[in-house]
Amino acid sequence: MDIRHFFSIWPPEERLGGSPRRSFNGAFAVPDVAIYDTGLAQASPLHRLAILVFMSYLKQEKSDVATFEYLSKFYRQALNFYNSSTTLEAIYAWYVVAVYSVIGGDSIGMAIAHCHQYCRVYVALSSGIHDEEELQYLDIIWQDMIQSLYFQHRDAIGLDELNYPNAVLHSIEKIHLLLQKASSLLPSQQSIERQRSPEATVWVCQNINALVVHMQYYLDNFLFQINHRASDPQDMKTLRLELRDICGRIMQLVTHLPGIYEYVCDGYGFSPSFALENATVGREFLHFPPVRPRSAKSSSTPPVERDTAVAFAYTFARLLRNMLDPAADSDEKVSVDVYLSAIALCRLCASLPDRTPDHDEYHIRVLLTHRTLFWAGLVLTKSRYFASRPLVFVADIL
Amino acid sequence: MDEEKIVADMLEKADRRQSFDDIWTVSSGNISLFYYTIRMVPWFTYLLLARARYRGIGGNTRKLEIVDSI
Repeated sequence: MDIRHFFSIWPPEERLGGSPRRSFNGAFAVPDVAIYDTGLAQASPLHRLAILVFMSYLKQEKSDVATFEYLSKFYRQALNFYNSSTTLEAIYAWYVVAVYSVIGGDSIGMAIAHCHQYCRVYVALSSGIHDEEELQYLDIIWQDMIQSLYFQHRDAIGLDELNYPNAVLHSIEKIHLLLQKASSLLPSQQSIERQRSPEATVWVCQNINALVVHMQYYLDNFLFQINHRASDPQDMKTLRLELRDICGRIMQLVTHLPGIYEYVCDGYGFSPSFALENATVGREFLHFPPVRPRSAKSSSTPPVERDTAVAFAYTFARLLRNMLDPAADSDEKVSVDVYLSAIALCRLCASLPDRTPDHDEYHIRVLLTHRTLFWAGLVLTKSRYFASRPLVFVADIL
Repeated sequence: MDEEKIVADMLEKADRRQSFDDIWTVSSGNISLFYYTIRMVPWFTYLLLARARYRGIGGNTRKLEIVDSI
């Protein structure tokens, strides 16, 4: 009964990630936790037990004795999953239990542990899946999962917690281990460098998203370590290297989206002829010419906020990569590029389409702009802006 | 604490930096750059470019389709 009820969550025709959902109380409207349909491969005892864990929680909207009994049976069954289940059933079963833990688990520690186990199983078994569509689907639900975990973890960190940073450190370190495990799911340098056909756009888009999620986690870890604990310099050096590597891969992947790459290049270019051709009142940032948005899809598709979000991701990755460069202060080429990236972020913000407050996209536009301009402002403060102007123009002429 | 004041304070400190590395540790009172930035939208917001549509067609037949739904 519970199992049938679980599958009735999704409309039969379109089984996208759907309810049940829970909103977190964050500083802004955090996306809900979605659960994706795990398909009709529910015949295995492991998958059935995972669903029973989830549904017993859902009935009361809290974990009760039955939930923990099912969970305990699930653990026992999972020990033998290689014998009792197919690859897909094992991955989907751990997925369902991970979603339960993020929505209704006892603690953030439990949520991280179950997501880590889901990741281990996924990493270990995905090489045995040869259906490309299935792999893409699994990739999408995995990315959704770690994004949900991100919000769950972040929202649990308050100012009081930072007075005793060891507890936060504990969960950050556990997530770091999870991400290291998951790093084998990210595209390698070689796979990025390979020439891609236009049909591979979905692959490119999915992997940009995956890399940006990793970049965000690594950046948070870096900022936490540098601000709230006396970290080992060697560990910090490693963290910087890892973060720079992820940023570099994001930058390379975006070059496979020609429209977005041109959009970004406009943000870095200051050609006066471009300014005359594209002069539009209100789209300039200070005296810089306006930037024309472009779509990730095709040149005939009108650009939307999502396209600017991808351009932001490239530009911020470039800013971050150069700021973390050990030669950022001594090598003029690197420092000028930091300023160029900060200016490009501001110009991209100015290129966002106008929205009235009653428009669906208005709120997200405000949040994206707020975050982006804050980071640009840290680099491009008033005195630095004027000091860097000659350098920026020299770089443009060269 | 007033958010405008926090931002102004952090930007002022960033302006006085000696190196890019000093930016990582700007703060306002007990608000660190870490704490302030985790209250913002993360960089992956609005980035999910590919979404999946799952079509179950009965039995164990699976039909998965990647769609761009955003």
